[in-house]
Amino acid sequence: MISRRTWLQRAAQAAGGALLLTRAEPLLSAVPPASEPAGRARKRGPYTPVTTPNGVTLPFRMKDGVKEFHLVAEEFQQEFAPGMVVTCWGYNGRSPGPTIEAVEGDRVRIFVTNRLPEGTSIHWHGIFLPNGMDGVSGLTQPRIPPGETWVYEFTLIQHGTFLYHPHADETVQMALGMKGFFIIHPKQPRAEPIDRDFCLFPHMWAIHPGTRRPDPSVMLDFNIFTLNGRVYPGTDPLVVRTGDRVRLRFANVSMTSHPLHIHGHRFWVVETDGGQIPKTGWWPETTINIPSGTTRAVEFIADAPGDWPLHCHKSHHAMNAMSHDVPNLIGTDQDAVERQVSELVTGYMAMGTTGMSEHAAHAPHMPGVENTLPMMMGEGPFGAIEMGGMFTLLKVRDELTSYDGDPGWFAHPPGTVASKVEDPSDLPPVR
Amino acid sequence: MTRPAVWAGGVLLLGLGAGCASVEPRASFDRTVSVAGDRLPAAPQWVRDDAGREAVRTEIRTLLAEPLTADRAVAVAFLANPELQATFERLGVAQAEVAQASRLANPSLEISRLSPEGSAGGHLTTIGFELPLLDALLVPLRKRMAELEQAHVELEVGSALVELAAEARVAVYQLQGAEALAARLAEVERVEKAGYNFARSLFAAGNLAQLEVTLAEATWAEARVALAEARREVRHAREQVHRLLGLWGEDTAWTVAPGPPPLPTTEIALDGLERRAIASRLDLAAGRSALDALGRALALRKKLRFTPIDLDLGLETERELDGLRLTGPTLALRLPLFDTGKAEIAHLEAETKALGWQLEALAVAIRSEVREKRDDLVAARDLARFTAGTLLPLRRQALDGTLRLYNMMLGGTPDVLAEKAREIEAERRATEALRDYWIARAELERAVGGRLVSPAKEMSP
Repeated sequence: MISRRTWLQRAAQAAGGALLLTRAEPLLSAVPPASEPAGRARKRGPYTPVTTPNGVTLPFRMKDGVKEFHLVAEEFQQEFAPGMVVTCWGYNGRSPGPTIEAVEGDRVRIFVTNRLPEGTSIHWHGIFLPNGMDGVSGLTQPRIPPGETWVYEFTLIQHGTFLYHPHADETVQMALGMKGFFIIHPKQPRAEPIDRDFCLFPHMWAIHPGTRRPDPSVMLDFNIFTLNGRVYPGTDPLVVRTGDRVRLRFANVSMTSHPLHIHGHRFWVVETDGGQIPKTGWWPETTINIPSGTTRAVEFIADAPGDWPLHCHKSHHAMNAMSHDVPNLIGTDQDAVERQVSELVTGYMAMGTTGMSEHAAHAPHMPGVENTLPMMMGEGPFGAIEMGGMFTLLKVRDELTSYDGDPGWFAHPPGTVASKVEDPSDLPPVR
Repeated sequence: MTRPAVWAGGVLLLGLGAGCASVEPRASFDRTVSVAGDRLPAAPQWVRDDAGREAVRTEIRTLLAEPLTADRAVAVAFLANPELQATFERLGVAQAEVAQASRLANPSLEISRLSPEGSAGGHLTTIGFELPLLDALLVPLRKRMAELEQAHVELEVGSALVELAAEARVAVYQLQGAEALAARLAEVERVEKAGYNFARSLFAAGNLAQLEVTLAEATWAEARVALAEARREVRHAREQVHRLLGLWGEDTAWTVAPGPPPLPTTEIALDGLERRAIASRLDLAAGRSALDALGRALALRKKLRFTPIDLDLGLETERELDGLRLTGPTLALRLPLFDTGKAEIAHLEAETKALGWQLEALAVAIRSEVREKRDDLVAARDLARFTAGTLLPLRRQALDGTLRLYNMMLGGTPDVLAEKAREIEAERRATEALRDYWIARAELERAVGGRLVSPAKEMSP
């Protein structure tokens, strides 16, 4: 298959001049036909089902024309990445809970069983429904007591990206992980079908080093940042074929906004939890800011093969546990101090004088704190990636046998990799 | 020879040969040491002459050549403490008293040559010779009393030896504790110095404010003050050892063995200690002995209440003016008419009662002391076990955990140093508890009357 990029390059060469390769307008109708991945039929039914990386979609059963779902609010252990297991509250053994997926016009009946030690309720954020189904405990319903199963029922009269979360002891229950996506597809399939539709739920946690339960009393000093309940390197990559139309849906109930940034592409902002943005109102971004209490959906054509990071651009959200109280050692000379202290405390080593990289290299070999991940992790094909938290990869491949699993590292065409200058004597002026 | 002359000569011979006790106190010393027996952890030496002094000096030098332990210190004290040697001389005094008591009072000889006034010739010459007879009869009793007093002194000297042994041990434990504490504080000083250097290294790169450096330097300064104070305590503890062991000059160059020693694996038996103390304490035995002697003196005085106090038997010869010689025995005695000794007896009775009360007070105090020191020992042992077995391991774990946090850059160097300082503090507590255990043990041994490793010899009543 010829990639978009290659097609443009050839056109530019044909034009025989320096053609500025900007992609200024939405190339929505000029998508080259994607060939089927071998051995996997793409669903061309009413909708392309969403993919929740590291997550699942909630199954349903039909009963007299009503889609019935079952959510169990409970406590469980969740691995955020190998080496870190957290005691969370969520739904059906997951945080975020399973993605509810339905179609505009469906009547949905959602059973909610409460296995938490305290009362709960579920609010369907952004969804138009009878007031009594709104899920605000004390206001529109009593709390669901522990041990009981209650039911919500309403007809979906809109489509878009929404979410569900508790409305009882909210701060605690959301701090411990209770939330999930609620996707409503339009009645009419879209003219331009989506090839890959991803749901990503960024979230912030305060899990003090050496502990395994989030601390809900923390308001500002969070230290663990997840996408769909995982930290890098525990985040599954988003795998797409070159030329796929990709949709990314984000939701946020954490204490601060998250500007999610993509490399190598730009996307169009197409939807919020308030509804669809008219096409004429779509605007381009490389970073979509998701304020607390909102959803955002973006679309783009994945026309550049490679391994492209997708991450929160608040740089400390792309790292694992950090302390905010350690002394700043950058630029200091620790030789004498290291000698003196290591005589008193065996195993003491100075670190951080040249930045944090050297620490990241040493950390796996030094005795650490249990259930606590090093700040910066990840091994790539060219060395340590030094990332964590809200960091994942968009892997775009020309050839793809399956969307499942990890296609490995990108094989760069020769001449397209940054390289060392062996003889730095003849360089352009600095000033 | 005339019969009176023969008679006088006989008494003279009796006086010269009558069971005269020697002034040599050697046997008394040996008895003292033998009676004290197992109570003493070392053999005392009594320095009587220059040869003895030389021998003792050699032994002292040998003992001081090795690091000083509590046992060694007692051995040195028993050889070198001058006050102890002064106490031994009390035995010489008591022995002299016995010797004195066993001698007859000297006879008296009176000569007078009287001349009449005027020119009539001739002289009256009188020669009289008197022996204190009652005194001669009382010599055995007097000697017995002096021997009782000697026994009392021997017990007191034995008690002084037990006291000195305990004091010497305590002084060594105090010194060992003081040196260990100073070593701990020296380590703390290094920790705070590292903290100060750390702050300085950050300040030099513009990463820390001057105030933080000042605070770190102030903390280091406080550690140096504490160290200086601890070193002063070491000096004072050393001088206490010098005083108790009687050392000066070149004999002050010894080193103390590192300590305090670890807890013994088996504890001494702690039951029946009060009973044992009452039976074993030499000062209590000395008191009993003194009470016994006083009782006998009182009984004797009562018995001799109406006997003449002085009885002198003599021989007198006189040559009159006209040449006539008169010779014959004389007898002089004091009659207990006005003073029948009532007051003296009342005096002795009061003294006896007073001594009885004092002994009871001593026994009460001894029992209380034994209970107190026993409880101190048990508490000190428990604390020593707890600090070493629980507190210190916890602090070491805390330091390890803090270092792990540091390794993950979730904690800083000041956190590590602070935790190290707390670990050293726990070591300090463990050292102090151990020192207190050994001091309590030495005090208990003294309270019980001597070493507790084997059953003490009971005092014969």
